[in-house]
Amino acid sequence: MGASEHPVDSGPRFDESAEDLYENAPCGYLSAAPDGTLVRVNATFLRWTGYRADELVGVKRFKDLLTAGGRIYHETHYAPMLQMQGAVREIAVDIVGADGRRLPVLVNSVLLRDHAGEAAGGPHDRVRRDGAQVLRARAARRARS
Amino acid sequence: MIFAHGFGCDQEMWRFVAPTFEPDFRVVLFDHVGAGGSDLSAYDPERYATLDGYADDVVEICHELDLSDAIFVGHSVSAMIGVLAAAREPERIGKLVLVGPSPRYIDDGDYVGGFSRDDIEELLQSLDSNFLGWSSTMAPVIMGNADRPELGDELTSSFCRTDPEIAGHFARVTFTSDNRDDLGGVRVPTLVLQCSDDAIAPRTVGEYVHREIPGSTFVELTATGHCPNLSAPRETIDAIRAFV
Repeated sequence: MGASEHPVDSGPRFDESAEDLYENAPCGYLSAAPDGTLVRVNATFLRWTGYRADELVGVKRFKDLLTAGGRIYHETHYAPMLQMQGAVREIAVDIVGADGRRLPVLVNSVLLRDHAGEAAGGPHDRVRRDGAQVLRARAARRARS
Repeated sequence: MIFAHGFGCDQEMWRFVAPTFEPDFRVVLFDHVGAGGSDLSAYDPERYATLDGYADDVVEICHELDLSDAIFVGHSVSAMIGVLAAAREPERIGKLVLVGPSPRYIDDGDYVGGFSRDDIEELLQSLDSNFLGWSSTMAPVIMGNADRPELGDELTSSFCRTDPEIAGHFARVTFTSDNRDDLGGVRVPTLVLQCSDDAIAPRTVGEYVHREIPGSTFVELTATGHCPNLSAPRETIDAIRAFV
């Protein structure tokens, strides 16, 4: 894997190019478990923020990477909208990088669910009931500068 | 039973909770002036310069609907609005349910609210930068929502959208408020509902509220975040039911 390794004569290799497109996309990608813990982060995001994958995956949630003010915005606007609407678009926040530097980004998020929701259940509730694998309530976030 | 929403969105925050109480209670839902479907022309920056203006509105609702012994369920900043309203009209408000309450968000000496003044300024900037693009980019916001047919277009296109100036003002009033001295005046049975891992109202703050309100009940939910009414409605309902 890696942007510089593209064998010219081996024909199209879709797996690899899809992987490369994900890792080195011109935007950062983050996926999180239903409890918010990050489960995957692409190379672009790591490059921008200076974090190593193991400092984020399984350890941090997206909101942990925001400024304190951004975290309030996340709790009071972003998270409710994501839960109610299933998606949030073009939210401006600052991400705090590994060295403390702030990276202004626009965030788009989608909440993935597998089956029809019941009127009186939020995603967390259904996670407990159905198990994470069935629900796949994974939030994929695309951050771009 | 009166449900009051906090800073950020509107009465739709109670969408998964309030209806379950309708068979047993008269349920009252409202948007604070300046939020949701309220009459924005009724917004007066002076009236709403402190949380007292919002508490006056709650008292007015109680009078208008001739409520007595009502259960006031307040989320986030509305918890303190309920505290103020109950102090004023104890015969109208008979019980308080405080969901994620904080009497003061900014640290002060030994008191740890969780935020500094700079943090609050950052929030205001964050609000400003997001509302700038609000009208243009947020309009067609609905995507991939087929699994939630209960959420109509009307809701999804208006939820959490407020007049930027009012939202900024409400944010400043909310996050610079200090109602620590009002807690001791609560004379009605009170339930403090604390979320796990709430960045806005951390556990120490919920415990502080519990300690300061005489005879209050403290329940910690397993729900994380600041909005258990959305993220864990079942658990929230059960905890409220056990209390009322």
